[in-house]
Amino acid sequence: MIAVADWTAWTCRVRVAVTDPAALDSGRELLTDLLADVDRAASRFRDDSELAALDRADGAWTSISPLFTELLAVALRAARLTDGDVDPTVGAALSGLGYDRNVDEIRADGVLLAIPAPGWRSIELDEENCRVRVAPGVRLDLGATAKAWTADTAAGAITAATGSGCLVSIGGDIAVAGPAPAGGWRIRVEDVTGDPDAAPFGPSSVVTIRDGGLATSSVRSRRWQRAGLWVHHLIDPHTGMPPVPAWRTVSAAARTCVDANVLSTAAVVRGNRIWPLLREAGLPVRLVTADGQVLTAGGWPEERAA
Amino acid sequence: MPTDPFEARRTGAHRLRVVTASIGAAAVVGTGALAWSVAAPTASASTGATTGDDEVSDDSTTTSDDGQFVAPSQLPQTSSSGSPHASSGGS
Repeated sequence: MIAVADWTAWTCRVRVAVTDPAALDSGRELLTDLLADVDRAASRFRDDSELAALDRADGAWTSISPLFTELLAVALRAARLTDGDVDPTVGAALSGLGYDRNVDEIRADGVLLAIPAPGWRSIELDEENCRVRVAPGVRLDLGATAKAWTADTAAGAITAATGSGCLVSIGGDIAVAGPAPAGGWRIRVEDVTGDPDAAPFGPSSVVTIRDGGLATSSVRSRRWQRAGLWVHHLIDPHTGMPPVPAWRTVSAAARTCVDANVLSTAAVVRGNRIWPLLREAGLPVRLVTADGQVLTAGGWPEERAA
Repeated sequence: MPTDPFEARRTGAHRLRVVTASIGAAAVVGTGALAWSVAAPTASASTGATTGDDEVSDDSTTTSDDGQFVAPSQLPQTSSSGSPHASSGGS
């Protein structure tokens, strides 16, 4: 029997599912604590976060926690893997689009500014000594990797603490660990993360995974209106604007949710230029075109059009 | 025009030395260029770990997985029955 707990955090649906119901309370508590720790380290929306302190450091070396060091290292690895298409220096770009507060609080009547990202090489991270220096004026956003890292870390920790098989979903960034249920963990992939216990809102497909992570990036979610335009949170670092969408939704599976999310995000940003990276990465991927055609690669099971 | 066979031999030997030297120089330059082209992306990929304001250390914490995506041990499979345990979409 699978036991589940659902709640909302970071304006996302959060779910913990465990194969041993006795592990549910521990799992929920562990994930809740980790979400709070990551928020305190990396939130753009609170003045007391370590990320906000970097904004005030004005280019000086700054001591940071081991947790924030790890989050930055993961973000920099994502940038290296994607040649800067998934870049943690898009903080100012997102603010230029109005995303400087929770998405449901963004005002539609503000101005729209395209601010290209300075690039991940403006960050110097000293992992060994837990300190970082960011070029003056550079604003960070770890949204592309922090959720997925939290899902990976929590799933592993819950299984280590309880011995139970575990699934953690944070806004559709999914990590599983430990023994999977019979038949595997069933994941419904769709444009927007929904309630898995309810009927799908739009086109969808269900796959099973037994280990690692699965993530989906979509231009259909976390959208807002600004200066008469609809924009969303997936930013092309080179322009500071949402990319022209070749794919409306991309899902990927990998050994970790971080890797899955990095590739799915890069695919949305690169559009039709993603194929060389897909070949190089070799991960199972599902791509949905703007008109709903579904392409799969890397061993993702074939399916009908969404 | 009359040809002095000794002069022709000296000229030929000189030309051979010039060609040999050129090939040698090209090899040195080519090797250097190759080494640079290999080293440049390696250096740019090993970011980050610094020990001083202007000093870049070599003892980064890079792992074997650091430079590449890692696939799951089992591929996703189509699910034929049962309600989903989770939804994955944009958020």
